[in-house]
Amino acid sequence: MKETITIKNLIKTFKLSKKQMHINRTKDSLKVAVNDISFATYPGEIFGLLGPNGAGKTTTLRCIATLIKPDSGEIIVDGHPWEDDVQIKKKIAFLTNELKLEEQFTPNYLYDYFSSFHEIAEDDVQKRKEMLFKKFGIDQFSEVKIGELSTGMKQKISIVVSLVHNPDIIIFDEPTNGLDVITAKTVTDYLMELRNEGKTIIISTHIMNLVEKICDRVGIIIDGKLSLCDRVENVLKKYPNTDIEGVFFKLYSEVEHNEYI
Amino acid sequence: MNIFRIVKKELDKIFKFPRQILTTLVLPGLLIFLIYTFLGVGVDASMKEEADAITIIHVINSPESLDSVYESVGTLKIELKKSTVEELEDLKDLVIAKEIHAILLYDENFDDLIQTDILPNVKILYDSSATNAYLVMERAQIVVAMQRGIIYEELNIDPNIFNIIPEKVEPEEKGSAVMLAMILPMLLMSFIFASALSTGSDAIAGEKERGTLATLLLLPIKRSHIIIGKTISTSTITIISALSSFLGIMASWPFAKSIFAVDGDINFNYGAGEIIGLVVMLLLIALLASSILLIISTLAKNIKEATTLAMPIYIAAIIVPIITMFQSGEVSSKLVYFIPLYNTILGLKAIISLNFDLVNFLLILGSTLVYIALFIFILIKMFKSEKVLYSK
Repeated sequence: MKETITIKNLIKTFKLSKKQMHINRTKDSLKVAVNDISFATYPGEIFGLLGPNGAGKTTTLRCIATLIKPDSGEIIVDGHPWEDDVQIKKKIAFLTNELKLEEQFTPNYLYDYFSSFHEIAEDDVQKRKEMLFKKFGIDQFSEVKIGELSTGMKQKISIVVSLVHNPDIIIFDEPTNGLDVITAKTVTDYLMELRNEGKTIIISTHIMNLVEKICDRVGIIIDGKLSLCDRVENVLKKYPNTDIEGVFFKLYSEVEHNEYI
Repeated sequence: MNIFRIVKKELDKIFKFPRQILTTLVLPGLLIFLIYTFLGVGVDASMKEEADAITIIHVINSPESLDSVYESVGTLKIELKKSTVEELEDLKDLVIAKEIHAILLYDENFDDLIQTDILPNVKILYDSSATNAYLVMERAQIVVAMQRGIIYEELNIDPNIFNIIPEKVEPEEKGSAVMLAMILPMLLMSFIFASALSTGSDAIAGEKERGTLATLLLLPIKRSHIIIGKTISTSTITIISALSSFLGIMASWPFAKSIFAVDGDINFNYGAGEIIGLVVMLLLIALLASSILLIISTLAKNIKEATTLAMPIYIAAIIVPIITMFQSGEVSSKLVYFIPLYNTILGLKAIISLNFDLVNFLLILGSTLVYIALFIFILIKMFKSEKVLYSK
C-alpha cells in the first residue's frame, strides 16, 4: 500500500541553555529529543503516537509539519521531501495546543482567511464552512470574536480552520486535551469519519485508552526512541491479559531513563 | 500590614528583575540625558561655528560719520564694504545666496539730515530665515551703535535722532519653509518611529506571545512572503498613524505658534516635485523603520522585550533630527547621503526647505532601498532559525 508519510532514521536534538541545563540537572548541552525514529503511515488509518510528556511525540510531529528541521534522517509526505515545505503544508492539517488563533477575529473571518491560501472555489469554501461549522456546533458563534469564546469552542474552531482545505493527511497533537467529554467525542468521532473516507490521521497522546478506542496502529515513544510500532490488535495479542496501558508500563520499565524531569 | 504586602509585591515586580530596572528606572533618565546632551552639543557647535565666521555687511550711501567704524569693526569679525544704491538688488540676491550677510541702507545725505528736524533712516536688510540671522542682526546693530557713539562725541548731537528699520530680504515662503525644515523632520521621525515601534513589536513578538506565530508559519506559503507581507503591513499602519499625528500637528499650528517658535503664517508653496519627494521619503523612512523594528521584534520573546530592545533605535530616531536641526543645508561630502537614517533626515530637510536636489535625492533613495533589502534579507534568515522563532 502507498505510504502517505515515510520517516526514516529521524534525529532531532535541541541545544540547551545554561538555565535549561540546570533545570534538567545535566551537564550535556544537547538534548536528543528524537533518537533515530522510523515509521510509515498509510491511507485510511489512524496512527497513534503514544508516550509520556517530553518523550519526543510533539517534536516528531513538528518535524513532519516542517515547523522544525530534522538534524538527520528522511521525511517524505505524500511524495514530497521535507525541503518542499510549501507543498507539504498544502497536503496536511496540523494542530497542536500551542497553535492559537488571533482573538480579535471571528470564526467566519478566520475560516475565509485560511481558505484563501488554498486554491478552493468560493462556492466550495462556503459549502464546506457550513458543513464543518454545523458538525462542530460553531454555526451560532460564527460572528463572535474568538477571544469571547470558551476554551472548548476555541479548540473546535482551531480544528475546523486546520481542515479548510480538506487535506488527505491530518496530524493532531493531543487532540482531546482540555476538552470536555462531549466535545472530545465529537472530535474523535470526526477523526474516525475521516479515516473511513480514506485519509491518514496521526495523533499523539498520552491517553492510553484513546489509542485502544480509535487507533489502527500505535507507536510507543520512550525517551526519543520508538520502542514499539504495530497494529493495536497485534500488540494486544503479543502482550496477553493486559491493555495498552499495561504494555506501555512494561516497555517503560525496560528502558533506562535519563534523569530529565 | 496588608497594604505593605501589596506595595512590596508591586515594587518586587520591578526591583527583583534587572530587565525591569533597566526599562523602568534607567532608560527614562538615560533618554532625557542623551536628548539634552546631544541637543546642547549640537547647538553649541553650530553657535561657535557661526560666531567664528566673518559677517560681511555692505553699506549703501555710507555717511562720513561711519568712516572711522570701517577699520575698528575688524576685530569684531565684521567686514564693512561700501556699495552704491544701483547695486542694491544684486546685493539682496547675494544675501539670499548667503555670500554676504546684510546690507546697511542709509538715507542719502544722512549726516546732513541728522542735524535737521527730519528723522533719517538706516535700514538693515538681512535674511531672517538664515540659521545665523540673530548674529548678523546683532553685528549690524553693533556697527550702528558705534556710529551713534561717534556722532555723539564728534558732533555732540543726540544720537537717538535716526531710525533703525530691520527689513527681511528673503521671499516669505522661504522663511517659513526654513522654519518648517528645522522642526518637521524631528516631528515626522518621532511619529514614524513611535508608530513603527508599537506596530512592529506586535507584528512578530506579539504573535509569539499570543501563540499565533506557529499558525502563521503553517500557512502553505514561503516564509519570505510572510516577512514581506509583515513589512508592508507594518509600514502601511506606521505611515497612516504617523500621518494622523502629522495632521494633528498641522491642525494645531494656528493655535500653537508660540510652541513652534514660528511667526506669521506658514505658506505651503510646494510644487509637485517637492510633494512627490516628500511622500517617497516618508515611505522610505516608514519601510526602513518597519524593517529594523521587525528584526528586533523577531529577536524578542514578547512585546515588552521588543519595546525595550527597540528603545535605542527610537532614541536615535529622535536625536539625529535634533542634531541636524541646527545644521545649515550644506554637507561636507556626498558620503553622508549613504548614512542610514541620517541621510533620510537630510533628504526631508532639503525638500521641506525648498532645496530639492535630484542627485542627492537619488543617492538617498538608492542607498535606503539597499538597506531595506538588507534588513528584509536578515529577517528572512532569522525566520529560518528555530532558536529565534521558538525561544521562550
